[in-house]
Amino acid sequence: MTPEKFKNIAPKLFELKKLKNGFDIPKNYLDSVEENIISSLFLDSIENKNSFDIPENYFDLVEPSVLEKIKNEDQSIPESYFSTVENRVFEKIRKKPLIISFHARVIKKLVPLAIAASILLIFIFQFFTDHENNDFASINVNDIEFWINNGNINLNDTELAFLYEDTQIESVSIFDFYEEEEVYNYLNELDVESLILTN
Amino acid sequence: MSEYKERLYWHIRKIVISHDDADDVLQNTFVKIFRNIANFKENSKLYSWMYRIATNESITFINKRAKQKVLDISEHQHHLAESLQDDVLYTGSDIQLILQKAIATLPQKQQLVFKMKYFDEIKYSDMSEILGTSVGALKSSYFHAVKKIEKIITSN
Repeated sequence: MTPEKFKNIAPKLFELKKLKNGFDIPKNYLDSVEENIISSLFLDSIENKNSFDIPENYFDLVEPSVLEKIKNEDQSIPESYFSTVENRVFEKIRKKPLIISFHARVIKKLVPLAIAASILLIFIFQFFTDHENNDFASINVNDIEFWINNGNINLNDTELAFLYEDTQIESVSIFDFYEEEEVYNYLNELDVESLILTN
Repeated sequence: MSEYKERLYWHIRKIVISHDDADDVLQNTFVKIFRNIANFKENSKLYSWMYRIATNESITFINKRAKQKVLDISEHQHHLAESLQDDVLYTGSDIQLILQKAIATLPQKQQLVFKMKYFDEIKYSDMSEILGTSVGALKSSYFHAVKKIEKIITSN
């Protein structure tokens, strides 16, 4: 394309061509660039040098030797374990995870606790209740009578006299303990004659 | 090296736009040249061979950068042209900035053709050797690029 033709096609571009392209470079860049390139070449030559060597066919042999080592280390691994392990892992992932609701979890933990607490409360309640009743005043007179009549306590006259030495028997009226009517009923039921004969 | 460093630098700089990137690419280019000098075939010009290496290195560099930035290559080139506004090593006028932005709208290969012809006035025959494209295709490509850029500049 001749300059004339170019001017006809693109007059603005033609004018712009006369200007400097606008790109600048740092001062002395072109003087120092050679040095930098030589440094790059030196570094490149170092980077390309690999002083390390490997045994012949190393990369072909590394896989079988690793597999052999694994086999020797653990004989309990089932055959084709490694080829199937991936599928089994995916299978596990696919399985729906076991979800225990909060409600069920609370019931599971609270029910045994509630039972244990109830049993403990029963024991405590019973202990305090029994403790309160375990005084002599609460013992029924009939129970004492029954206990003595069954021969659980043998007291002779001397012992009784010793126990009640400060008590004036004469001043103790039978009616202090029993109602009059009760005494008469007792005497009516009793075979007085047989008592006289016995004593 | 002294003979070619400046010419290659400017060729690279117009492709990669920033000076720092141009410096990197220039060094890589010379490393490649020295490493492959034994493979240089004398049936092609040394100058064309070096230009080809510089062009390939520059294109590889900007493609790599675009990939790193997860950008389409045309998008990346648009960003490069935009970055000139804040580049302390760019002193072009507003109209020159518009020209750079207009160039960035062209397809990558057409940009190369335009820059090599418009700024460096490289002969079509040499350009054909460097880019591996026929002279006719290059002429056509340049013609279309000129028309497109002129249109953009005029509209601005």
